Amino acid sequence: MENLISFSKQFVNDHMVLWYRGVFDDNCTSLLIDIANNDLEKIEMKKASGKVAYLLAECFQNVIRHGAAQKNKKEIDGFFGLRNSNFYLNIYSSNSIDQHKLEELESNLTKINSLSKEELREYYIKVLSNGQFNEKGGAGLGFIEMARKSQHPLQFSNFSQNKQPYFCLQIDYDNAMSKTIGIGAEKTPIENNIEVQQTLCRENILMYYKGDFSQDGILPILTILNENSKKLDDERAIKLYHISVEFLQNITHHGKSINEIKQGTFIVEEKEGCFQLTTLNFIEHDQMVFLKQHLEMINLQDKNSLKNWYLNALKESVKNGKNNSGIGLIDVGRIVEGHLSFDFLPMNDSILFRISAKI
Amino acid sequence: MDQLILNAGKDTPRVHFNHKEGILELSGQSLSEDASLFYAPLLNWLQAYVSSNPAVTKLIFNLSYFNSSSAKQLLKILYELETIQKNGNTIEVLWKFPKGNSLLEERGNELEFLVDLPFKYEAH
Repeated sequence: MENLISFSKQFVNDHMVLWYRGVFDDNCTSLLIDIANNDLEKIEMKKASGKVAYLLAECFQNVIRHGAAQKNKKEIDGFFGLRNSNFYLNIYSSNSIDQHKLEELESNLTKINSLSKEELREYYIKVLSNGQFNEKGGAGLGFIEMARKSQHPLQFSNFSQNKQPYFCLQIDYDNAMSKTIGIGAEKTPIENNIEVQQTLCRENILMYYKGDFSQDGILPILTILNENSKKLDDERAIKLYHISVEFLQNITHHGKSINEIKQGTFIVEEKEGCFQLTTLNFIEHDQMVFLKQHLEMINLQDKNSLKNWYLNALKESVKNGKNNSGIGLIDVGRIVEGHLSFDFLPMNDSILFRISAKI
Repeated sequence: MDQLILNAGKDTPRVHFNHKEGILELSGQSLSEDASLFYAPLLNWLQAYVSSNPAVTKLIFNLSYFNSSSAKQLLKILYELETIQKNGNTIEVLWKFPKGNSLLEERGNELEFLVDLPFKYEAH
């Protein structure tokens, strides 16, 4: 728990964080826009503008466009990040790339960043009319548009891992706070996000989401998870989905609201041939007693006893109208690998609750 | 009474309750955070349906996923329809599940265990 908490501390000022390593396709692009839309709607009381949707789609599709497929693998080796902090929305992507393409991209971006607003417009028209399209359909037009729409220089960098170069791009976009009081606020350097990426890769974290856990907030997260679990065998994919639904809705029901938002964190890790699902969220002191006893009781039972407990609780809740609080966790206890792992950490006037399940 | 037909929502199943044919079908995903809100009008409709003393009823669950909040509502539906059998009329439950989804098949077995209704299973 200590590692996850200390890692999560760096996002304390972020309203929403999404780090993602997995399937990159058009469906996932629209799901990411849904996640950003939901978050911006909650924080800023309005949907993401067309500009933000464009920047998200371009950045995500850039991974598809430029990501070199790894040898012997069909999937694109890419990484995507989204952070909505006090002043900026950071849209980050990283992908493996061929060395010659990297040099070409970086030279193109250096040129774009050196141009004024008017020069960018002229350059855009020039590239468009010259039709210098590459074999993937782009002509650097995407980058020019990113710079024009974000109104900030594009941050870019690269690193090498196992002799494979990786290209990293970050778009900074003024959010509502920046537009009112934060003009000139310091931006998150791309190096910080590269470090996050490297930590997540080292720890084999496939998804990290901090944000709104209302039903609207969690549905696109669940759909992305579903898209990614298609490569698993049926049983594991179904269990992974079911535990995720119950964990996420547990926060929807019982998580403490912060600024009227049901805030929490959801982490998917792949370790030693297993998937580990974790949620972190704040709860009230008086919720801890029931939850702790309930989870300890679940961990004491074998799978058959848990099944009987679940069926009795289900029957009682319908026949006698008994409160069925905690029935979802009994159900999760039935299908996890081993026991549920959990912690309660007092923090200020709340309790930080962590629960993890292996599949 | 009228038929009850609802299109699937992003977290609610498609509902096709046809009282004339006696075929009641739920299909798709059911994962509302508070399923009781979605199922309340369905249960009201079923109460009226049961009161109409239907001779033959076929209840089809064709769900690809349901959460624990929905499980309680599915059991409520089954309890409601048990009355049909108690009144001497015919009812059959068809539990459809995607091939290979043993968890969903097992969930059907468990609901069958909790009620006194004949279940049939169909993998698709």
